[in-house]
Amino acid sequence: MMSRRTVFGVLAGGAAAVLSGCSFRRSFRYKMTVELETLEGIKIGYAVREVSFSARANGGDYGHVRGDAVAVDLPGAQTLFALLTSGDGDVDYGGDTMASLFKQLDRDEIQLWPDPPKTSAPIITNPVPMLVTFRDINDPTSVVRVEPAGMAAIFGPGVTLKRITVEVTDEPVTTGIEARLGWLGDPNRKRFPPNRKPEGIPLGNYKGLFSTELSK
Amino acid sequence: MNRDLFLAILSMDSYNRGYGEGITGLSESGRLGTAIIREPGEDEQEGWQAAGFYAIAYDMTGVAGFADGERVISYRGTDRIFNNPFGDEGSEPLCPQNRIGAIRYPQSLFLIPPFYPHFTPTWGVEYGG
Repeated sequence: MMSRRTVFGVLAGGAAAVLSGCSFRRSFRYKMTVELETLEGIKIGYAVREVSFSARANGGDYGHVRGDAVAVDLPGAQTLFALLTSGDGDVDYGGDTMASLFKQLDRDEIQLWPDPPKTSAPIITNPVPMLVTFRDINDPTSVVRVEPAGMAAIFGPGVTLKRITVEVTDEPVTTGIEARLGWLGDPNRKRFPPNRKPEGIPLGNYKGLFSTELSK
Repeated sequence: MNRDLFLAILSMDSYNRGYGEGITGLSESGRLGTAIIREPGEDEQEGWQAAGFYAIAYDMTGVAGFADGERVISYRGTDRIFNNPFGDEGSEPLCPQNRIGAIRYPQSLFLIPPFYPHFTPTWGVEYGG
């Protein structure tokens, strides 16, 4: 595993790359792990993502994420997805926010749920990813938000969210979520009717909530 | 509020919403003052971040100094145009920010506004307006 000293040594060293005309500074990877308690035991899913840095026009760094949402298979052929955006819709969550979190807490592993980290400069108001599931996984318009404390209401009795963590890693970036969500790569997929938008789920870059690899 | 001042505020607002925003926690819906933010449609923003593009639009109906039905489109400027004119971060006339802006919002081109009298484009620049 890459240590935090190495990660932020890399970030500090990135300045030379920018000054020499390179757009992206070097990168680091983190693994997000989502763990649920069910009547059939503990269910775990994870995804490894990579954050690369570029210089902001007004100074500082901006972290771009590459990778997929976390998918956790649950009893009854149900799946929970932890998206690349935060519960409050921050589209920078998977990249810039995670980079900021590791940098300011200076730890290799951070728990996001149930004990969210204490942050400052900037305060990260919602460190938990947006969680969703599908009533029919083959129908993109059947998406439903799931609240961290409300798993049982969606997935049935005995299902609770036990823990969400992120840790620095050097494992390969997780891709291929389109194998689960066949419609992700389909330009003619079913769209939401204008009068039936999902509550609390931003649709401007719908595929981008699940993967950065399909919108290039 | 003075129309030009409101336009200046809206031009800066494109830097404070969406990806890479300067102020965290502002959504792409609701209102900015009395201007109504036009919520992005499904898949409308696909590929924007990869291309380095961002824009947001407002309905100015009921806002002093604007006509009912008037729309303002605010899109992020061509950063570093002076200090890195041939770089790949939105620096030259055909950079993604400009190309996508022209395709997505043709009404924002200077030559076209007479045909789109209800649209007012604003450009943000890295200096803040």
